[in-house]
Amino acid sequence: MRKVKNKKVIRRLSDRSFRASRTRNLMAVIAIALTAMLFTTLFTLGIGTVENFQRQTMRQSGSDCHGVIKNITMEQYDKLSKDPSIVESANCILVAYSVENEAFLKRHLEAWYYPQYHYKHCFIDIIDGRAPEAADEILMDDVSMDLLGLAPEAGQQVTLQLRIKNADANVINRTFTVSGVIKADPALDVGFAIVSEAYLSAHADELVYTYDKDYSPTGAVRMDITFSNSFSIQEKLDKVIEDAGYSTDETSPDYVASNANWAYVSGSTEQDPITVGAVAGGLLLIILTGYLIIYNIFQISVIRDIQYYGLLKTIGATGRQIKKIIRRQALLLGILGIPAGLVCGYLIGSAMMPKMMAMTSYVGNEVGVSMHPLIFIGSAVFTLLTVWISTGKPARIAAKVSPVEAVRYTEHAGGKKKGKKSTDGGKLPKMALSNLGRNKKRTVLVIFSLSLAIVLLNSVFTVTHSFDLDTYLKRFVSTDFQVANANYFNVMSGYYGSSEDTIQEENLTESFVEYCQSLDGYQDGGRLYMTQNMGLRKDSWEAPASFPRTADGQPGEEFGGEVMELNELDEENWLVSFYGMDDFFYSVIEVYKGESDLETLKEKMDTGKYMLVSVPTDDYDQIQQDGIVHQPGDKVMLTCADGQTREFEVLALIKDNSYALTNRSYMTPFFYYVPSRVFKEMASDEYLMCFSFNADDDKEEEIADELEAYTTQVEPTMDFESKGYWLEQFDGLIGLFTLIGGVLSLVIGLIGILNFVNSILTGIVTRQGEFAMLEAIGMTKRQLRKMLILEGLYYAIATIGFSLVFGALFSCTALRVLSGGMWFMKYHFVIWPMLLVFPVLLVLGALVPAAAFRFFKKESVVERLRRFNG
Amino acid sequence: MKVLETRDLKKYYGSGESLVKALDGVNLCVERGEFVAIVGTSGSGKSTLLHMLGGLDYPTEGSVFVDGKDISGLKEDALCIFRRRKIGFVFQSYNLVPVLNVYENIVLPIELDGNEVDAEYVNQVAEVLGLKERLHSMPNQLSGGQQQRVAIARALATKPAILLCDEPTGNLDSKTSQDVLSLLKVTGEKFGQTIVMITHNEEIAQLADRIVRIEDGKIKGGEQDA
Repeated sequence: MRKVKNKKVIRRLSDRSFRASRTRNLMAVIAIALTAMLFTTLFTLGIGTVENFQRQTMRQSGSDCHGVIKNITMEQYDKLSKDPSIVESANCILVAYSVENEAFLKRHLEAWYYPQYHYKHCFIDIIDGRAPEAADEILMDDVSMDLLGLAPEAGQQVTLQLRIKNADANVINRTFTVSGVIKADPALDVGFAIVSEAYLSAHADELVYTYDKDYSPTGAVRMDITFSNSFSIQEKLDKVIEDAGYSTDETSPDYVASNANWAYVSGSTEQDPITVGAVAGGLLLIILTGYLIIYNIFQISVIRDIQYYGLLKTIGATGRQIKKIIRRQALLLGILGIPAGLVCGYLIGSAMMPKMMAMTSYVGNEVGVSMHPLIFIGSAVFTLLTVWISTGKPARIAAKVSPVEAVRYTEHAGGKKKGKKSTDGGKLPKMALSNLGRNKKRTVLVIFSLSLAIVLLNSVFTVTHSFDLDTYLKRFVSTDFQVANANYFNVMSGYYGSSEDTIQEENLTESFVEYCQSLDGYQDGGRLYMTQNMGLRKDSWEAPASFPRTADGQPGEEFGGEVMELNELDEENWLVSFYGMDDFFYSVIEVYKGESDLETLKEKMDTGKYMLVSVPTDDYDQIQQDGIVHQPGDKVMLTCADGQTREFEVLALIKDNSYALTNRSYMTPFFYYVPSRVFKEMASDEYLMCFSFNADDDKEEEIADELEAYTTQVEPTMDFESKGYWLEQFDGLIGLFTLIGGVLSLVIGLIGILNFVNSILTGIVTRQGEFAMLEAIGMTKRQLRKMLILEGLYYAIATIGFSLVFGALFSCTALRVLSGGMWFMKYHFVIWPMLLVFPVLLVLGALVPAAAFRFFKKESVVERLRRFNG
Repeated sequence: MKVLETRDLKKYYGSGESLVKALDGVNLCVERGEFVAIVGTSGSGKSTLLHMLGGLDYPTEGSVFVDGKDISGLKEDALCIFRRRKIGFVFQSYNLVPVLNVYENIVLPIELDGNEVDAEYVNQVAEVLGLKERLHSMPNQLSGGQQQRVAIARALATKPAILLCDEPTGNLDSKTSQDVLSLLKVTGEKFGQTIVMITHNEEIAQLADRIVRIEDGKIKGGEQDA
């Protein structure tokens, strides 16, 4: 077939008629810009999250290098670093096994040597002073300086208590001059002291490589490596090691350990299905929203110009050519609208980023989004896709128009109206109504897009109102305050109560309890003791039938689908968590089975013959039956540390309460509770785990401040949690949801209104001839205006009806299910946000047509009649 | 030589009691270079006949031959291409593309076909129709008579097999009507163009070589003698 050279004429036709429809273009550009904005915001948030987490992972791993080779000698380093595939490498050396100043008990300080050129890879950012040069100069982070009670300024002296090798008995006091202060990294709960190269030679005797003998990391080199790219890092590392003549086989004497930086491992940035689903849902919603408006705009414009397309067809333009004309206009509009959308979306996304990150497990003060090209390319592509989908149908309509029908199109519509409109003025409402019915599809589209925004808004409020503060708090807090050793709250260390020798590092001090009791506003509280230096005689307990078993039939506990054997205290005893509680906790416990009258319970417990046993629950506070270890009435034989045994009867089963009643760690399924007095008969009162108390509501904030001051200044090894802390978390969650939902509703609402305005405007423009004729036959302008306003109001009323029905249905079904799926949500039916929007909608419905009508009544009736019917 | 022929052409609208027979077995032949006027009252089916002849609409039954080719079986897009190559249309309401200037309007069908414009020929046509000075004006700057002359020029630009005119003077006053029609006749003769014109105005119809009368979808006189 001959290739037809008609591109130029298509372009000309397209561009000329493009210029002729200004109003439509403006609407379409705004709509496309809004759509692009939504996409960009979504992409910015998505990519920003991945980026920030990757940066956090890098910070946690210590550097942005691709990989490390660990625990090697300086000679090995020299040999390995000559490998041609290595772009840059650094020898990092740990200079002390630990820094034992008391100030660093809660937040450790690590003493390292890093070469100066390597600082930038290790996120070392000097905020005051300079890098260390002399042997007694160091860099130190501002938080560590603060812990030492020093201002974050260079030039001060610090004395560090260094334990050089892990096996060293002695701690060396060494005084340094702080040559520079570096910014502490919030992603790491660790401080850094960086020494100079001169230090290495001055203390070479301490830093001898002994890793091969005693596994002492001090003095061994950590080799940070940067390759030219981050693909298959581990393979490259293995090759470097093997090429230098070492082995990657763990059993070999020449074994050298290495690993890739996990920040670059694709597995670490893998998205979970929920996130993927949320993003996909977001994309679909935006495409739908964009479709609703762009489709409507083009649909209206095509129908308005249908005669024009019919004319082109009679002249001989094919359907394909007409389609091209419309597609080209859409593309042009896209090119005009997308950049603005990209800019706005990026700005909104970057502004929302910190708020969103605050809700995740991310820790860090710098939350930023780079101008990742993917954000803009992705958004532009998706917007164009939306435009493409939206213009498909209108383009097809225009392409399919039969030349004869195009001529008849308005004649037909006009003729029909003539009969109807000649009725008296009293039938205006009916006339307006049938006008809406003239283009049912468009009417439905406008109503649907307006309703979508309203239903969405209502859903956002329904969800936030269903966030149940009580359920949420119940999980984390049973009392206003809980104080304990800092280790208790720290997931990495924890409170275990395993031995009297080490208990001082974990336990709560009596002095802190007394301080709490002395606070103004203190109401009531209680101590919780706990030891795991206690056992359940294996022969006194038979696991229930439903209890998980290991492969060889032993009772066990499930971890990630695998049943592991229970921890034991010794050969004859299972490990148990044994708690002693003050009477205060009777108000905290929830009895599931057995004696439930608190008075009787307390009386019986005080006899020392009974104990309470906790049973595991899931997120929804439902008992996990197969985890129950005893039934009320069971006899339990316990072995104390000194070998003596004591028998208890199970009085009742209580629901577990991990935050208020345990050490927040699961080493055993046996959680036993006895009164404090009984506990102290069997174990040391040094096993004081935590103290919980309630306070006067109006004093809570004050107390929190006082506790904060006390735990930083008086007893820095102590810490606390308050209801306020969890309240803040909760408010943050609601805030985030409202923010995102609000922005989304706003934009979709805007699009809905744009749709509405567009429909009304084109409704007036396309019917100018008809209006002129109506006026000619005696309809006053007032009546015309009234009819138009009625049309607008009908739109509003229909939208109200539709959103009420659809919104209520959606709420009762989808949102109810969603709320049921989240443990901290309790479904509430909320309709008031919708009701608040309705008056606005009615006002708009009347105002828009009235305003639009003003524009179109300047010309005389005759002029218009001639123009539109000629 | 027959350039246009219809065989038992029928077009029905609706069905059952509301069945309207717009065309009911029309047999018409037009020779090359002939100027035929089709006259009839409104509702007689003359517009429908024109639509069929121009391939704007499909007949219910029967066929239309243009240059010996049966167009009633062509697909939509093929029909389009046929139209722009073989048929020139002149409508009562000019139907110029408002966003293109006079010259662009005239050459539009040629360009849609992807052909080179025969500038000499177009200039000649424009000259005969008195449009030489207005080639760069936009349609809305022209009088009704000028607009209709542009429409005629556009119809002639592709050197079509037939020029179909639907009430070409319907919107013009009688003086301008006379001018346009004589131009139409002159150009037809000059370029050897076959013209089929629909009108309800007997006076205008008298200018044609032959008058075909149509009534209730049937031809009532004026059939070719042959």
